[in-house]
Amino acid sequence: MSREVELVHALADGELSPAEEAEAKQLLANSPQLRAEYEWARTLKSSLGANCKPINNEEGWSRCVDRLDELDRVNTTENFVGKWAWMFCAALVLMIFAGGIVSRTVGSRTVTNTQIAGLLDPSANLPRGEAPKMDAVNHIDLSGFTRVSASGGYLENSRPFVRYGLRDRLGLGGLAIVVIQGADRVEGVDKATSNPLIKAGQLNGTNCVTWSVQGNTCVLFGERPMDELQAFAEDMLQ
Amino acid sequence: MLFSRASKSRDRFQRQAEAVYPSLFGTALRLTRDREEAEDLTQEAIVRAYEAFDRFDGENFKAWILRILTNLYINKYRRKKRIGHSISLDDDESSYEPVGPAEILPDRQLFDEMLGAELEAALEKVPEIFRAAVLLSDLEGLSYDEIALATDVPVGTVRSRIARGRAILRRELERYALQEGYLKQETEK
Repeated sequence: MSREVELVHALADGELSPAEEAEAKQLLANSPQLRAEYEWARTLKSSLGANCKPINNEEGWSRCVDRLDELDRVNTTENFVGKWAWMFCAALVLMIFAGGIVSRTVGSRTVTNTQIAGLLDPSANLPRGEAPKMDAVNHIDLSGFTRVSASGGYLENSRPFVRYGLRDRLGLGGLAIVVIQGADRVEGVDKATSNPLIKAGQLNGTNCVTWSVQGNTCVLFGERPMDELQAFAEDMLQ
Repeated sequence: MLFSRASKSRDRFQRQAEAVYPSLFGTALRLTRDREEAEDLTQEAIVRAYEAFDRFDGENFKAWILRILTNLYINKYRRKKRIGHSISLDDDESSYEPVGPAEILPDRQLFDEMLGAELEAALEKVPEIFRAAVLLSDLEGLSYDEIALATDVPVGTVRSRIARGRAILRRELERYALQEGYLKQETEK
C-alpha cells in the first residue's frame, strides 16, 4: 500500500498536518487515480456515517443499569465494612473482655473440688481458727444433731467458711457440715434430688448434698447413703 | 457524605453512558456480529468504565468508553473466536491492496439508494482489524490518535488500516452494485 493512498484517505478524514495536507493536495492535482481514491474515501465515510446508525437496545441498557446497581450495593457494603471494621474489632475485643470478667465473677461463686478437698474428711481435726461470723449459720437447724467440733477459716479464694463435725440423733458420727459464704454452687454436686432445693453428688468419693441459705452454700457430707444425707438436709432446712 | 458523593458520581456516569449506549452497542454488534456477545461486551465495557470513572479525564466520554470496549474486544473476544473473517495481527496487511482503477468514480446517488442493510453486510466482509478502524473512524468519529489508543497500535498503522478497510468495503459494495444492476458491467473494466 503506497504512502500516497494513505495520505489521501487521511486527507478525507482531516487527519493531516498542514505540510502533509499540502503534499496530499499536490498528489491529487497530479494523479487521477488518487483523485478517484479520494472521492471513494469521502463517499464511503459519509455513506457509513449516514446509513449505519447507532442501535437502540433498551433491554440491554436496563440490564446494564441492574449490573451497576449490583456493583453499587457491593461497593456500599465494602465501604461500610472498611470504614467501621476497627469498630467491629474493638467491640469484639470489649465483648471478650466483658465475657472474661463476667465469667470470673460468676465463676467465683462456684466452689471447686480442690478448694473444698481439705474439708471433706468428717473425722479430720481441723485447727480451730478464728471462725468468721456468718449469720447464715443461725438459719441452719442443727437441733437434731450434736456438734462435736467447730472450725473456720478461709478457702483459697479468700471465701470464709465454718465447719461443724456432727453426730446424729443415734449418736453416730462421721458427718460434717461446711457453710461457705458467698458461694452458690459446689463443683461436681449438681445432681437434682426429689427436693428442688437440694442437690447431690460426690466429692473425692464422699457423698454430699448441698443447698443454699441466704446466699451461702451448705455442704453436708459423710459416709452415709445419699437419701439419708438428703433427709438430714431437709431437717436442717426447716 | 460518602454515599451522596458516590451517588452523584453514579448519576453522572449513568447519564453519559445512557447517551452513548446505542453507539457502543452498535459498534459491539458490528465487531462481534452476534447480538448476545455484543450485549455482553457492551455491558462489560460499561462496568469497567464505571469502575474506572474516577480516572476519566472528563474530555471525551464516548471516545474513552469506546476505547475500553475495543480493548476488551481485542483482548477477550477475538482471542476466543479466530474464525470466519478474522485474521491474525501477524498477517500481512499489505495483501489488501486498496487502490482501484481511476476510471471508476463513486456514484453518490448509487450510495444514497443503497440501504443500511447492504452496507452492514459489506462491513461484515471486512476483516476485523480493518473493520474496527473503519467503524471507529467513520461511524463513531474518533480521531486517528484516539483509534490508535483504542486499538493499541501506532497512528501510522491506523492510517493504513483505515485505507485498506475502506478499499475492501468498496470492493464488496461494487460487487453488490454489479449484482443488483446499480453499476453497469462496463465499469468493471
